[in-house]
Amino acid sequence: MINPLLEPIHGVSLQDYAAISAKMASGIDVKEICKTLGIEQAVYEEASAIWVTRMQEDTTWEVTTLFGQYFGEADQHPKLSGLQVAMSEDGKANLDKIKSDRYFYEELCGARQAAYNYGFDGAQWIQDNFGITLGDFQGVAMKWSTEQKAEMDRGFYDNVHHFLAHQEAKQKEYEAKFAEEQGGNVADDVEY
Amino acid sequence: MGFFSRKSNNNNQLAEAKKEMEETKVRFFSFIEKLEQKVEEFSASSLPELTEMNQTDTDEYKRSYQRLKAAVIGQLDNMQQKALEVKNEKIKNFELADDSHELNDLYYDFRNECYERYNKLEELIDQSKEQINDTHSENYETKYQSILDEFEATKNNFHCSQCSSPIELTKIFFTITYITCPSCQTKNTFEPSTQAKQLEHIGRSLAEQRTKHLLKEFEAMPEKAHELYLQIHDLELDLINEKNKTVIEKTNNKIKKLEKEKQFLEEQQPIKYQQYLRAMFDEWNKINPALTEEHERFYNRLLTDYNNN
Amino acid sequence: MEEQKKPLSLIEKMKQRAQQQKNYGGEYIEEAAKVNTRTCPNCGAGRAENDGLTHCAYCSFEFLSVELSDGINIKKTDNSKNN
Repeated sequence: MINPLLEPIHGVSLQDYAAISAKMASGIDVKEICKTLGIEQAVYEEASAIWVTRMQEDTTWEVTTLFGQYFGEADQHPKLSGLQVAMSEDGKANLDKIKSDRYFYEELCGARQAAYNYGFDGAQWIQDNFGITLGDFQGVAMKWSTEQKAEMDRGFYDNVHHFLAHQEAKQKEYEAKFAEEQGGNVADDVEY
Repeated sequence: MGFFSRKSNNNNQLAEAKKEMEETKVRFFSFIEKLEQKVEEFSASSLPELTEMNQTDTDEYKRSYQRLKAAVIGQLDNMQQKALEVKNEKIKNFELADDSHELNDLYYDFRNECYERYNKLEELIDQSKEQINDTHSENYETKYQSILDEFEATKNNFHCSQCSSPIELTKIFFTITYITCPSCQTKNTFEPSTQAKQLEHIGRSLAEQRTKHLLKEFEAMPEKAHELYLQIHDLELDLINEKNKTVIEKTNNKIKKLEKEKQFLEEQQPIKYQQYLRAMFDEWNKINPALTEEHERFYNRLLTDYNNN
Repeated sequence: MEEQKKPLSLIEKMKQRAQQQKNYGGEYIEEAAKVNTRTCPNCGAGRAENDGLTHCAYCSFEFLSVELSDGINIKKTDNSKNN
């Protein structure tokens, strides 16, 4: 029995909606996305409004979970995978690296959190320093999150702790750099 | 001979340990106090800046204000982390010379005092964070009124792109939509203004704002129930060594009365929550009636979630 | 006195940084409502109510490559019949 909440809206499936969201988060214009999908913006806006209500009414969390999964798989969408925003060579290399190197991915998660803690727009900071868009970053985050959940379902928790510790350590490193840039933290002169 | 020298050695060790703990405690308390001063100074200087930025940030999402707030809270977290690290290093991991009963007793007293002192710092930081978060205010009534005013002012301004006949808007659209020209039957594409497109989103925030008092009443209930529980517990403790029959009866009556109050409060909780939800959704439906059916399903979902927990 | 200055100037620095930053996704631009129509790029015909939104009534050009369902204002009846 397929969950009726997964029915497409005006032919826009959940997979479509998630991929559209990912591409928009990567900076691609909604008009170009609609053109590629063969729809008009009116159709997209209604579908988008209603997909949100589907997630709100779903007691099973299935719609939200699948949305996340499809968001992470936007590059496999049959029609939208071809829409790519221009990236620098470094950006492309860094994006490939966070996909394959979990340590580097967790480092950037820590760096992004450190940026927020020092008053930066974290998404913009990642884009400026590593050339990766928010949409791409979140897509990769979904994949690692799915993999981690699968491990936890099998009762394997070692990686969770290991990578959390790595992320926290990296966050501290970047925070120290940001602190230096701003002339120190408030309580630098307070020692035990 | 050996026993007595061992005993006096232990006494020496105990005295030394006591001295060391006392010194550590004094030093730790002084460190925490200095941090508390920093927290107070820094919060005092941040609050007016945050209040001002919340009011003057012209961005729709007040992103400059959000960034400043994140940076301020980041500094408070930084200070708490500093205190926590010292607490762990100097207090939690305080080295004991041996595992004797007396030494452990000394240690636990010392540790509890230091932990309580640390907790005061944590409370202060939590209070500061609350004040900092309270600098955020958004007037959703004004935003909603702006949408209503714009609609009234512009609803008769539109014309069919094909034949120029007037197209009158009969309701506030929040998504791009197709409107049929009453004269030539052409399907025109109508794109609402940026602010009108926010109707559903503003609708929810405004509905929550208008019914916040009901939510607060509901949220205050568990603590009230807990207070009653504590009162009952105290009375029960009083009964343990009580011999006087009159006093026992009086106390038992008090306990019964409090238990009834507590039970009533607990029965009222789900009712109060449903009242809040119903009121909130009724407001939301008034603001954006186009999604009433969807809102109702969301309302039912939230009630189901609550009842299942 | 020195210790008093530090928190103040730090807040000033934070304030400046918060205000000067670029917002991810760009600035929020307020736009007014507008009306236009889409005409068939093949034969120039407009879309009339009775002909539906998905295909051109005259040359069958595909405006929308999806099947419309019952949404908020757009309905199933807006599907063109002659596809």
